[in-house]
Amino acid sequence: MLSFSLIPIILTIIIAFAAPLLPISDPNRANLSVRYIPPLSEAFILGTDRQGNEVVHPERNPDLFPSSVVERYIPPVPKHYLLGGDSLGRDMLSRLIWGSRISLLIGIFANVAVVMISVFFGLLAGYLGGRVDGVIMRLVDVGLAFPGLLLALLILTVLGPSVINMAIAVILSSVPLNIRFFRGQVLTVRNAKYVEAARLLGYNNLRIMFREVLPNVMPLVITVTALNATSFFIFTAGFSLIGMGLKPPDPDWGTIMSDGLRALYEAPAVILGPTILISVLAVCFNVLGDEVQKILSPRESQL
Amino acid sequence: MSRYIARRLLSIIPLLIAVSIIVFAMSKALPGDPVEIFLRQADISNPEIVAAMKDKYGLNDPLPNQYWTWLTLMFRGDMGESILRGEPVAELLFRGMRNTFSVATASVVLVVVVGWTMGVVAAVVHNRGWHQAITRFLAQAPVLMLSIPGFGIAVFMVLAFGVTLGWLPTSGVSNPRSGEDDILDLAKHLILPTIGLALASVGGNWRLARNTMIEILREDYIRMAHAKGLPLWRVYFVHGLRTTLVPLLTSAGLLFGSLLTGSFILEYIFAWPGIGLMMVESTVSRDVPVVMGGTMLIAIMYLFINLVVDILYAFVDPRVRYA
Amino acid sequence: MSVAAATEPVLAVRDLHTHFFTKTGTVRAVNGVSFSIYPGEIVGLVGESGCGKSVTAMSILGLVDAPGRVVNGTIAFDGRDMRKMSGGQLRRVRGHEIAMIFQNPIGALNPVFSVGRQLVEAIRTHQRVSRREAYRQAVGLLERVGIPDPEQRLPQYPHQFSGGMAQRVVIAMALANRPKLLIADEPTTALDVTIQAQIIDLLAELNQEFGMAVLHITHNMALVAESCARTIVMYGGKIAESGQTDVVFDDPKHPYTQALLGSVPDLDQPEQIIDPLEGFPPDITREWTGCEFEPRCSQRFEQCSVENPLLREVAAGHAVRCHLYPAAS
Repeated sequence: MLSFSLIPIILTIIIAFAAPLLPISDPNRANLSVRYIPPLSEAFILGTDRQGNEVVHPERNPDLFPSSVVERYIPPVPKHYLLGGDSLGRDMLSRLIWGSRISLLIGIFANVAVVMISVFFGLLAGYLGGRVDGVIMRLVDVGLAFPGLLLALLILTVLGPSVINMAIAVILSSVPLNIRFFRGQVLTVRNAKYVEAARLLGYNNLRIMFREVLPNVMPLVITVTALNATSFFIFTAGFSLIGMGLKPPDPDWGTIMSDGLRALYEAPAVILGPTILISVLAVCFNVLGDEVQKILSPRESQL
Repeated sequence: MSRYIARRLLSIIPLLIAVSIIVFAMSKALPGDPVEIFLRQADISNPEIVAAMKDKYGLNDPLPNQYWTWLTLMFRGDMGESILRGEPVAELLFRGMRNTFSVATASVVLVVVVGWTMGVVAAVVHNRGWHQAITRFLAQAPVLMLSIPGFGIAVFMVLAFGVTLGWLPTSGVSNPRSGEDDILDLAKHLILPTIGLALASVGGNWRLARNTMIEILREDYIRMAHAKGLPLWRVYFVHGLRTTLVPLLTSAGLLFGSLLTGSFILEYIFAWPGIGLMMVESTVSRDVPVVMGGTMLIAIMYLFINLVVDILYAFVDPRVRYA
Repeated sequence: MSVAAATEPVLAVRDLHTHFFTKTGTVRAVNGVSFSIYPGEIVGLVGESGCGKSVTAMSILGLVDAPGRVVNGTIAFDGRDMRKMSGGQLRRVRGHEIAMIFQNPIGALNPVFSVGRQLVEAIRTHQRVSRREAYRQAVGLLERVGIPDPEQRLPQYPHQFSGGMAQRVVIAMALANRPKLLIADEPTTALDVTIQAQIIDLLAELNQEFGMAVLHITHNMALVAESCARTIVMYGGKIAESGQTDVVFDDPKHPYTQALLGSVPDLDQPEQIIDPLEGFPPDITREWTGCEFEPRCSQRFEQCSVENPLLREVAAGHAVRCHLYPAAS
């Protein structure tokens, strides 16, 4: 099951990184004449316009465009739209490939940040206890008073939509729950005999926190990272979908879905592509998380 | 028990104050002055008029005074008017909440009826050691269900049942041509959003019910129930199910809370005019009064539902009740 | 023995095999066990954890969980073969004619039902009585097992009972239908030492009063010596030695029994050296060609590693499964 779920994930990461090297067209290049062109169809490059961009038309006839549009005519060259075109006639294949970068980037970046912040504050609160714990946990309670995506929505409202802001929203809205989780884990480790022994040896708190407690919650840290991957990935896509993510024209699976939502009947393929990709990857991330959990903390994941 | 409830109720108050401060601060942090935006819509940009308006609405008062004014007004039910729609925010939110309530209720019913039943069946099948393939299917199916994101399922269903087959409407609460109280029409519009919202939770509750009940069926009191000579149905559905229900009820309660307060994406896809869609639209268009009022309403409801779930938990589990 | 032998045994287990078919192999938890229990007698079944004593108990009641299964043998209760009974027939025996009590009394009570409800359920499953009558009986039962204020205690929940009190409740539940046989699976292991003695005394009293036979499963030799007329020692899914308790304790034949008794400190002999048994219980996923105890045995010889010994009588009613005691010639 592990390799089964890893293959699509690794493949996506490779393709995402290799996007600039792949022989695909510019994902932002619009061609209204191939608007919502269905998948597996063929159009023709008839020439280039004044800016040097390709002019594409579904038919081979060069006379379809006046010379005011096409500056230089060439003998028509077939151009394949494997996955069709979107509302502006942009190539869906290349948009999907380029779109993978942003979803993955935010997912990875947010995940690392969330785990680091949560583990740090979880350690502080759980290990030091007392007033530090009180202050951190009251703040966590406030964060948890906002259900699910509401906090992220508010943050994006204030900051405005952008990649960085989306990452910030994802991070801030999922940190409270993660801090609470890690604090609970630290509390159970804190009273272990080896921590007591370290204290008796006169080690300072910092050393005990990072050398004794942290290694013992590490398997859980990795498990949580793997489990978070799914939710951050879905979260990012969902927010782009409702228009709180990226600004057009940059492609992102969520924004592509949003585009497709407006043409459900006209061109269902536009929404179907990113939806399938997101769903398949979400399932893979989920399986990956479960498998990691099974390997690293088998007690929590029996059955 | 009543002291426990009172203590939990009191613990909500500081949280609500904190939430209100955050919401207020957020409205102040937003770029763009609301008065200027409002007047620009009427093509007024005379600085004197702007200043007079600001004064009139107390926007030149010290921030704590402004906060206090907002808070007291809100508790009297006056959350201002929507910039976008020109309606009182309270009315708008009430309407949204009503629509969200219907789809959230339908979803919880679906989760309970399908998720719990399948989970219990799966646990009993596992326990009786029936056919491997059936046991395996009943264990794996929910994992797949809960792994696919809700909006993915929503899109697939819209494409299949709405676009391709044309059986069901894919957006809105009602057909504009049908009457106000056309229940059948509402029901038809409810089907796809309900499934989209519920399917992942059906999987989650299915798995939870299965895993919990499998654990419980290994308990000594189940062996004891068998050793007492109880009929099988009593062992499974009285002794096994009653304890399984404790975590299930909690899960359903929390699900209801989260559905009532945060299904932004699904409501957006189905154009379901609930509180979630209203929040998204207001956020995108910077309709600050609606965002502020909506956030407060959602936070209050969320905290309150979690409180009710905690109290319910104490009622279904005597170990908590007498602790 | 002579008195008991005159009557028919209430339970006769013959050549019982209970195996667990796991992914890693077949676990032969019970591998050819035969014994009888006569009316009114208390029999102790002792051995280390994993020796198959609890599985033997569950096999008798037909309660072995998957992937386990009774694969061979007969279990005759009151002359009827339990293995040939239908599910319904088995359920009429369980809790009615054979009752069982467990190691962890709090765990054996359902946490979300009141103790009274669980007692009434036990009564009404096997007797056609009204709820009120069952409740009245429940009060009497709690009184009988020594729980003060039964009327106040019945509406309470299991977590409100101490371990000892909960075990009394479980015993009351077991007694509800006057069973002919009570299987007590480590009934005192989870309890404090002082409470242990009370529970053992209670079981002995009830055995006298109701004349029910008791199969007392334990790993504690001292408890067996105290309360059981007969002792069966199990090792690796088989019986190592069985006989009258005083005979087994005064003159243990099997090296394993000797080792078990050697590891019980004798307070009368302060100078005595305690001799703990070394090594681990045998791997019962394989069929042994030699004796299962051979690797840990201090008296082993060549034959022990090549031939699995049979259970043989060394004296009337005293049987040992060891090559040191060849068939009486």
